[in-house]
Amino acid sequence: MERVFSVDEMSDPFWVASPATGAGAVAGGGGGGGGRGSAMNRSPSEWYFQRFLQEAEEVAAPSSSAAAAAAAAAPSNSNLIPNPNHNRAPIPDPRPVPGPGAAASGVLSSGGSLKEGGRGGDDDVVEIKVPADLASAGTYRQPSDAPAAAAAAEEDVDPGEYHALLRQKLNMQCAAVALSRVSAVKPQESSPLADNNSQTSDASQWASQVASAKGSGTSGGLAPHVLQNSAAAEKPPTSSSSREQSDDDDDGEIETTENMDLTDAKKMRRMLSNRESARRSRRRKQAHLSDLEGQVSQLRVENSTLLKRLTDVNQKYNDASVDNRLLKANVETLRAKVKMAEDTVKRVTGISPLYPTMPDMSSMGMPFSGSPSDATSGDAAVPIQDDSAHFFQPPPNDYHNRINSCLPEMGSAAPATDVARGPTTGVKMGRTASLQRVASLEHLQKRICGEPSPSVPWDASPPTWDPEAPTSNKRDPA
Amino acid sequence: MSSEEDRQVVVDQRKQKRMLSNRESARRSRMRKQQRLDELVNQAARLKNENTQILMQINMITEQYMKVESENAVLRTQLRELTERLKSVNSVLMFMEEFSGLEMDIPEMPDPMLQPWKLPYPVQPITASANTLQYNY
Repeated sequence: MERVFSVDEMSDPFWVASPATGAGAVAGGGGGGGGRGSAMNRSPSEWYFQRFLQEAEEVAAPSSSAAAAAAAAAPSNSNLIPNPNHNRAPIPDPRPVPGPGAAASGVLSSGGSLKEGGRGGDDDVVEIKVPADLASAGTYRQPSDAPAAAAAAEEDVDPGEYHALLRQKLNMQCAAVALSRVSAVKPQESSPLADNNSQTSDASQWASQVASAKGSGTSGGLAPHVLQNSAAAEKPPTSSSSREQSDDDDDGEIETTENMDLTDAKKMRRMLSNRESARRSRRRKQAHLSDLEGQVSQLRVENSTLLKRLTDVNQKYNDASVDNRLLKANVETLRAKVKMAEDTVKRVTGISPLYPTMPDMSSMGMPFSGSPSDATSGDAAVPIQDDSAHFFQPPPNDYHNRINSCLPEMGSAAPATDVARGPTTGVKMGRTASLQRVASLEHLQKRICGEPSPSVPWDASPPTWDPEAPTSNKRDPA
Repeated sequence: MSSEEDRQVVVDQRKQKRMLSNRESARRSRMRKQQRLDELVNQAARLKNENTQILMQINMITEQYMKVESENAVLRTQLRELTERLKSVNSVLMFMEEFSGLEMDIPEMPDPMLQPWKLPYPVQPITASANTLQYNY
């Protein structure tokens, strides 16, 4: 039964080897790359096939033992395989000539290939569509592999003998490989899941081995490239299996590629959008952070200015309250003094400079706007304000009043106010028993009024007092 | 073969260790960044309400200050008036004393110089009728 193995399958198992970290990093890219890689594999495969055929003829010619020939062919092959395909770098040390799928899978086995082997079940000659991969698969350094592969190559010519030889080589190889591996390579069918895991683990181990072994830069662009793409494909077991399924389903090469590209394209788009959104969210978070920092610093500045203002206002308030207390005390003392002085005057002159019972005065109300002065100064305030009101009014209209108005300045503002307000009452008062005293006082007053002496500190009559003030503006009806 | 394997294992382990430590440090740095963000948020909130509080205090105290200041103004006016009155009464007493020869105790005039720093008159004159100014000498 002739079974054509698609290149991918073939290449995957062998090319699983790519450095673990590398694979991880590249995985994303690899996935995409994988698609590309495998496609690339395809184009060179044709060429390798012809190449393979030629070698087969060469090797077949000499009747020497297959092994020897294989050995010769193998190394020669490795050198002979320049990379005709212009876009592929020469393969530095591709292991020898491709062998039949079965053999290769047996020898270089990673789960994938084994799977095929198992599945294929036929060790007889299989027309390998793509010899190249086996060759390129040859990166696996084990020399013992080479001869086996070479032997496989010859099989084409004399199947029977060569086949036996191959089997023998194969078994030897399996033992070697089993020894080196920790976990035995189980055939795919037995436990798909387990196998997948082991396959991956083997792959990663193998990959690291190969990577470290290769190390040097000799490996051409293709090799690592192919490595990565198959590794990537291999890495995510699920996707790889899905890809394999997709491979199995369609035989035609084109469908595969298309299918491959579609999923990859989708993956690519999703990945790009994720990357974009991640970048946006990072930028947003950064903006938020810096904005917050700005806010905090601005708030700090505001805070300090407010504190300063607070201390200022506090200071002013304290000063004001101190003043307040002081003023209150002064006012109290003054009031007491004034009261005392007025008492003495009253005692002496009988005229109480202060007419406490001044109904009309109190009714007069306070000329000043209701000042929020506290209760204590309430009563005193009323008369005082009245005096000041009078005191600052234009001079009383008639001569008599003026005399009286002089007198109050001398004595106390109150009587004048009273006179100004109710001149008649004032005069009546005069006619009381102390009329003469008033007369004498008036006489005195006239003398004082007449000679303004600014030098006298407490000169009662303001120099600016203008007796000739027009008397017409009679303020109060008499 | 085994030597290479061994080396491989060692390499793997080292990689493993490095990856773990990187993961750890990444987590730590994320934590630190998160804490820093939270701290900033808290600070902003705290400063905001502190500022509002201070503002309220300022307004309150300014209000009180204005009240006391106006009261002071009134008191100053009263003081001035009382001084005037006292002056006038004293002058009367002076005359009486002079005239009647009686000994009068004339109360001491409050000397505005007692508190030189305290002007008896408020800084800005209290609203008084125009002619008041006329008689100020």
